[in-house]
Amino acid sequence: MSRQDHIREFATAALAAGRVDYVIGWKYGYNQSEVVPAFVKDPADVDQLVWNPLCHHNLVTFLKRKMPDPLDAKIGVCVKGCDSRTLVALLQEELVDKDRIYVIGVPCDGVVDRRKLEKEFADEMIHISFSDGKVGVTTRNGETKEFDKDAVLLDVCRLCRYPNPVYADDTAGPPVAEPDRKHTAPDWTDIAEYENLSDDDKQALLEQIYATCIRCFACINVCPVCFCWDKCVNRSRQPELVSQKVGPKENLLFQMVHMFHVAGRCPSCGACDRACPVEIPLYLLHRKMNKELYDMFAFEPGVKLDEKPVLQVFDIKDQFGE
Amino acid sequence: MAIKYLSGDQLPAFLGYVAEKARVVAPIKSDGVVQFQPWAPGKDVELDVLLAKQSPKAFVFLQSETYLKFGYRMEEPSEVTGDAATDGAEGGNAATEAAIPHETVEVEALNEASAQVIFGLRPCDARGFVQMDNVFGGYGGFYFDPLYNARREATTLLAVTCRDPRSTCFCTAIGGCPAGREGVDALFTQVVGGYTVEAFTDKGEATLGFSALADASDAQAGEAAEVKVQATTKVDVPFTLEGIRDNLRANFEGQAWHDLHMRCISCGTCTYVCPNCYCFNVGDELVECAGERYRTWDNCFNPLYTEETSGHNPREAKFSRFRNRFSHKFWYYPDKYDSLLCSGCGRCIVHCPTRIDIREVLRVMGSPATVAGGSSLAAHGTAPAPSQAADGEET
Amino acid sequence: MAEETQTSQAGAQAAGAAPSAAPGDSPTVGTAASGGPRPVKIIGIVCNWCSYAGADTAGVGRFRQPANIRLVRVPCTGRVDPLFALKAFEKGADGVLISGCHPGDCHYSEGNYYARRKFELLERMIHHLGIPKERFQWTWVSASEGQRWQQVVTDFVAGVEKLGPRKGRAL
Repeated sequence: MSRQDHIREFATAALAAGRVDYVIGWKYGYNQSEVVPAFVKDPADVDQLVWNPLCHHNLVTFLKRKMPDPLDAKIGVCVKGCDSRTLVALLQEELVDKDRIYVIGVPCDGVVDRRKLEKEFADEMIHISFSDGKVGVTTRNGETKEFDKDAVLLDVCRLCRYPNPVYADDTAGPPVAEPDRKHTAPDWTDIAEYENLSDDDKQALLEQIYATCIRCFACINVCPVCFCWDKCVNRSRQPELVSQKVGPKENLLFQMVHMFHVAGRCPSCGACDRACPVEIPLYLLHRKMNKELYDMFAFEPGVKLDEKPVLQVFDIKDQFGE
Repeated sequence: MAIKYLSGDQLPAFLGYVAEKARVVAPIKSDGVVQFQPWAPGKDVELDVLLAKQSPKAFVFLQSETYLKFGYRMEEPSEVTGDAATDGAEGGNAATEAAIPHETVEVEALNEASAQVIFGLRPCDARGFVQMDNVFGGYGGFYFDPLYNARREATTLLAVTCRDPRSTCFCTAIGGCPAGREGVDALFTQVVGGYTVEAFTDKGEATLGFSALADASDAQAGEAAEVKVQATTKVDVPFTLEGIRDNLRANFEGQAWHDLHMRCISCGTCTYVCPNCYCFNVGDELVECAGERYRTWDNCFNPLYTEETSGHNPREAKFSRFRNRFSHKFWYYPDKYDSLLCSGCGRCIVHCPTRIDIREVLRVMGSPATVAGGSSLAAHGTAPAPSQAADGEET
Repeated sequence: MAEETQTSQAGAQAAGAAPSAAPGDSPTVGTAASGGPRPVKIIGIVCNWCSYAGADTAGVGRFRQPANIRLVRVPCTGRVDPLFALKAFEKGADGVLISGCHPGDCHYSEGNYYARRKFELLERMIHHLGIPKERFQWTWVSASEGQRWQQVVTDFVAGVEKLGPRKGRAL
């Protein structure tokens, strides 16, 4: 039984039993090269749900305040490993009611980077298929090309340490092989090149990058642990703490405020990178943030339900600044 | 004006010629991302990619512009003489005022608009400017925006026909087409070896004094016409917008709004990539006694979009903001300006983080109320093609 | 990029009669009057109970220190949002100094325990943005440590002045 079948089975059962008002999973979008979040209310519609390496959305974001419709809905949600960590981060702070959610864990062996694929073609992709470690793409004008899945994985997936959900009510199939976390430290090589730049070069690069930001708030809104929503300091005009003007300095301040406010709860799932319409490499910030937190505390966000985010607590024996 | 022809290798020279009198803006690829940027000789214009990430509206309707600078200043006492000094009531005339230290406000209005030519936009992009002209240009005496209009006056739009529309294009449903003329000052169409060039306005004609522009041959003109026809057939629109206003009104309380909006994350991406959207917000930033007033783009998905001074927010629920966007574009705006606030470019579909499909929304919500009222969304199918609708529903 | 280096060289030259680490030095070298670059502007975020009082103690004791620092008083370092330091840089501050009660002495018992973790991360992230480490510092100064306050400020301003006014490009 494939994971997709498992997901459909769990969703059907939960809906039929009235355990949830709707189940959130993934389905094909406007063509079979795009997957989008699916909201299934009726067991008869469960066949929309798919599971494949295009299922990149972190669905936990739809559990945040003001997102459910109705607001007090009981919700079923599918989570990959990274997604489950953001859910645990929310549960650690009791920002989501555990009793009103049903979690379908989906062990994941990596999501492909659709942008990498897109850049291989001048024409529009309309169909992406998967088989045996290969990714097949068909374009609108009939061009086809095949890739090794490993070559087109998302960067965060290549460095993933938690491919199996750390929290789930039911799990869609057997777990995937996990990296040996006890004996291997996390791999931070994706930011190494940036880290080695001089101060001036960093400033210049950040200025260039953040000049393209359009302050659409896609990154903020898609982030599952970015919770304050309408009360967000980045949005506030009364008082206005973060300038609403759009320029590289203002944009970077906006992004840094967000990063700091999610510090300790962000597992670098990368949803923000994927949501950004102008392809800003947000991972340069959140990956570094998590690297430092790991260095300071050997802490990985959203792994244990009975932990608290590392910046929300303290230890009298902390040795910083001494 | 007769159709002209520009040989492909003359394009950089043509842009250089235009650049002598105006800033040239064109779609340019940086780090794999195509955006409209100021062009300079040596930069490649990217015309193989159909649409730049955003429309070029940011060059006429700036995303962020400071338009007023102000400062408070204490004036030392001074003497005022002459008639003006003693006019007015006792104790209230200019002389009395000037005799004591008093505060004055200095205001400096900023409105800089230098000539620019936007090259390489598509007819859907140009159509967006026409809609903004309605709103900002005093249509029917509603409102005249001096900032927008100064720039609009100074801008010439040189569009390029779309040879290969995407599956997400639906300009023909809105009354446009890959070679549409709305808002276009001159249209370039790619043919073998170069481009045919047609000027539709005086502004367009004024940019075509370039020496290497020759009259197009009949064959070239014929080829261009063929390109336009072929491109139009590639635009796939399996729905109609006839009666959309009435249907949206009838479906206002429809359950389908709740179903359609679920994956919306309420950001502003669709608004900011749209060639037509024009909402803005105004803010003041003050440091002690000096400050500036600026305006920035706003988007109707912002949870605070309709938050009122009292704190009450009529559109606090996400679905109501979602409903508002489509209703504004296809019902409220047409009521006022007799035109749709959409170009059918499909950018909102392609860039939405969850790929919300405006065509799906229009197809569902454009159905007569009895259909959209109570049935589940799945009954309307999840893809634009009508053949996927279940239960024999009409679309 | 070269701008920063030129400024710091000019700053170092103008600061030729540079304040040494010894307390009691004169305020602000490199003023417009002396023909050098403008004085550096430091924002200090200090807690009301210890560090602000400590700064007062320094003042009352007439310990001389550079006048480049402007203080923002908060009830406790636990209240300090990293946003404050970043905003100060965005608005053009050349350096940011944060100071609070020593761990164990917080007026609200625990505020600075939380703050300690935040500031450590903040410091690391500020460097990650390409802001040199000499421009940001966080420390603990108690109410009675007037002389320590003087030392901290003098050293910090000296470090910032070596780099000179900041031409921040990205923040």
